[in-house]
Amino acid sequence: MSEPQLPVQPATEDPVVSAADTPPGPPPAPSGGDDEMKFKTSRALSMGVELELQIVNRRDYNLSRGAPDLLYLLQSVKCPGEIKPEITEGMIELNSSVHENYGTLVEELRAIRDVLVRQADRLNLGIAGGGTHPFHRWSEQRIFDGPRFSFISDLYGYLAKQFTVFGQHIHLGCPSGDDAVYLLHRMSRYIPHFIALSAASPFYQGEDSRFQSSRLNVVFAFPLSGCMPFVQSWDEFESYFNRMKGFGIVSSMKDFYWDIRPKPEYGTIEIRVCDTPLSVDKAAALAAYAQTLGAHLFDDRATQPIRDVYEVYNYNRFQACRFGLKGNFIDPWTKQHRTLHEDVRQTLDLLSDRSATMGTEVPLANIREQVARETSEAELLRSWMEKHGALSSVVNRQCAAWRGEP
Amino acid sequence: MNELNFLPAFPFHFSGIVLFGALLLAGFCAGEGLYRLLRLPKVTGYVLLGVLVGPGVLNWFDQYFITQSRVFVDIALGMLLFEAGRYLDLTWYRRNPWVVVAGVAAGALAFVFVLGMLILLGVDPLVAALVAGIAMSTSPAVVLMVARDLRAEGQLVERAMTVVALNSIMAFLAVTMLWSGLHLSHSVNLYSALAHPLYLLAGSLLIGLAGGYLLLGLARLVGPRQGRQFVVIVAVILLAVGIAQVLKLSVLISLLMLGAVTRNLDQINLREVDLLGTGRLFIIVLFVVVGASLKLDAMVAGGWVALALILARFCGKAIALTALASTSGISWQKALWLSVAMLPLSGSAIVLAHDVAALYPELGGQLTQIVYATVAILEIIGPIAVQVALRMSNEAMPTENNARTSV
Repeated sequence: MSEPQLPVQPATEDPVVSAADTPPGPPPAPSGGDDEMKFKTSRALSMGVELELQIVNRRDYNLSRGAPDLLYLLQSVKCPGEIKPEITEGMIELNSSVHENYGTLVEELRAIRDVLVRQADRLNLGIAGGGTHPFHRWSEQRIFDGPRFSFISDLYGYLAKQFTVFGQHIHLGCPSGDDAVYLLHRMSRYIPHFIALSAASPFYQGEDSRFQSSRLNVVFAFPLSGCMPFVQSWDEFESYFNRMKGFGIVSSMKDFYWDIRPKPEYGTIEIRVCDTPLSVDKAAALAAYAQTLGAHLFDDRATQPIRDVYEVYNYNRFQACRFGLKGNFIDPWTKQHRTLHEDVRQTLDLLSDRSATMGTEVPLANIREQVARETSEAELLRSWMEKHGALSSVVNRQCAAWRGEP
Repeated sequence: MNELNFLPAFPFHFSGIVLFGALLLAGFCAGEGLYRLLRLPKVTGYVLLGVLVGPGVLNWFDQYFITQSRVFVDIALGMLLFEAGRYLDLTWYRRNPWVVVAGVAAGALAFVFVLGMLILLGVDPLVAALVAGIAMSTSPAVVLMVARDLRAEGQLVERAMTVVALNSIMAFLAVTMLWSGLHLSHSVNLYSALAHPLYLLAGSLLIGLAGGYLLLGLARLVGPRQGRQFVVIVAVILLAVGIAQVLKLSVLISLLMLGAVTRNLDQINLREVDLLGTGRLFIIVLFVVVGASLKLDAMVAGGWVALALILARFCGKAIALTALASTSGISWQKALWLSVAMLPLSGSAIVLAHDVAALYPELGGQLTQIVYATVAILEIIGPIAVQVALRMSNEAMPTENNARTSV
C-alpha cells in the first residue's frame, strides 16, 4: 500500500473510537480541499516509480521494526528522490523523482538504493524486494505512528496489518484528465502483463501459496479495490467521485485501492499491481515497459476503450496471479485465448521500433528474455527455498539481490 | 519390620526435582503476578521471590539448596549467554565499527569513573580497581529477558547486546589482570601472573570455537527444518558449560564465543530456535536463586558507597554512549536510554568477588561488601530500568499487543 502520505489531518476528533468496534466515520480529508480533483497537467509519459521495501533483521531475517531508526538516519544524509515511512514499521517506501527516460530513472533508483543500503548497514538491517515477506506473521506488525495510519488501522482492523505487502507503483504522466481516463482504460488490458512480469510473492505467512503473486489476493480483500468504473471523460469521473464523496464513502483519491487509478495532483495514472521486484534494475525495466506501451497506446487512438476489457478482467487477473506468464489470457478485442507469455511477446514485437527511439531497448530486451524463459522472480524465490530449505535463507538471498550482488 | 514399610520414612528428604518444581511454580507466579498487578518486569518478580524465600527473610531456601540448584542455574546461564552471543555480528561491526568503539568506550569510562569515585570515598586502591573492573560488566541475562518479555526490537536492543558482551568480557579480563596484580604484590612469580589470564582467555575462546564448529556440523547433519535442532543446540551448550567449568575457564567468554561463532560462520544451516522460550523453565530458577543469594544486610552496610558507584558507573557509560551516538548511527536520546538499559549488574559479579575474597581474605571483606550491596540494589532496580528504557525509546511492543498475542 503506498498512499498514506504524511502529514494528513485526521478528520475524526478521536481516532481511537475503534476500541468499541464502532466504524470510525468518514475517512480523513486531505489538506488539499476541492482542488484535489483538478487534474494537473504533466508531460505525456514522464514517469516515476514508488517501491515499497522490506526492512528485515539480520539474525533470523524476519521483518524488523526498523523503520523509525532507519528514517532517523536518513534525515541527515543527502539522497535523490524520497524515502518515506509506510504503514507498518517493517516497511519503507522509496520514490524516484519524475523522469523522461529510462536511463536517468535507473541511475537515480540505483543511487537511492545505495544510500538506503549504506544507512541500513549501519544499523545491521537488511533491505529486500519481493511482494510479500515469506514468513512474517501479520499479528507481529506494529502500525507506524501517524494519523492516517491509525485511521486505516481502526477502519480495516486486521486487514491493515495483513496489508504488510510490498508493491511497485508506476506513474505515467498525462497531459489532461481525459487523456488519463483514456490511457487508464486502454492500459487495463495489459494489467496481467505487469502482474506476471513482476510476480515475486510465492510465499505468504510461511506457506507456499502456489500463486506467483499472492500479494494481490491481500489487496482484493479491501472494499474499494478493483477497477475504476468505465467512465469516458475526466468530468464524468469527477462527478462519480463527487457522488462517492456525497455518500460519505470516500474523501480523497487515496481511499480507492484500484489496480490502476488516476492521480490528479501529479497529473498521472498509477499502475499499482506490480510486486516490488528483487532489484531496482527490474523495477526500472517494468517502468520502461509501461512507458513504451503508454506511448503506443497514446498514438493508437483509433482503438477506443471497450467495456469488454472489464468483463474478462478478473479472469485474466487471476490467471496472471496464479500462473504468471504461463497463465491463460483472453483478448477482450478478439476474444482469442492464448498464454500470457505469448501475449507479452506479441506486445513486445509491437513495441520494438518504438523502444529504439525511446531508449528502452535494453530493459525491453531483458523482459523479452524473461518471457522466453516463461519464468518469474517468484520461481527464483522458490528455487532458493528448494536449495536452502528455509525461508529465512530465502530472505537472506533477497537482501543480497537487493544490494545488486549476484 | 512391619507391614507399613512401603511408606516413606519421616522426615521426608526432598530431592532436587521437588525443589525445582516448587521454585519454578512459585517463581512463575511471582513473575506473572507482579507483571499483571504492577506491570513490573517478570524478572523482578522472580528475584523478589528469591529474596523472600532466601536466607535474608524466610530462610526456606538456604545455602544447601542454592548449591543443589546449581545445575539448573548453569543450564539457564548457558542458554542466555549463547543467545547473547548470537547477537554479535562481525559483518555489522565491519560495516559500522563505531558500534564496537562505543561499547568499548562505555566499559572503559565506567571503569575510570568508578575507580575515581571509590578512591575519592577512601576505598583501598586495589579493591577500588577490582570493583571498578567488575562494575564494567552488565548482566546479559536481565537485558535479554526483559527485552524478550516486552517483545522489544530496535537499535537499543541490538546495540545493548553488543555493549553487554563487550563490557562483560572487558570486566572479566580486567579482573583477571588485576588478579595478576594481586599475585605480584603478594609476591607470586610473574610467570603464573601472566599465564593465568592468558590461559583463561585462550582456553575459553577455544572452547567457544570448537563447540561452534561442532554445533554447525551437527546442525548440517540434522537438517534445517525448524525445531529439529533444539536438542543439538542445548546439548552443545551444556557440554561447553561443563567443559569450561572442569578446565577452570570462563563460562561467560566460552558461551558468548559459541553463540558468536554460530552466528557468524553460518547463515544457512543453523536455524533460529526459541531457546529463551523453552529455557524459561531454567531461567526462572536462575533468577530465584540470584534473589536468594542477595545479601540484603550488605545493602545497609555498603549502601551509600554502592549508590555512589552506581551513579559513577552510569555516568561513565552514558557519556561514552551519547558522545558516540550520532557517529555510530543513533539519536542521543536513544543512546541515553541505552545507557539506562546498561544498569543491571551481572550476578557473576558476586562470583568474581567471592573468588578474589577466597584467595585474599584481607581484601575480601571490603570488596565483597561493596559488590554485594551494588548487586543487591541493581538486581532489583536493574530490570525495571531496562523496561523503562525500552518503553521510552519506543522499542517495546505496546502492552495491548502483548496481552493479545503473548503465549
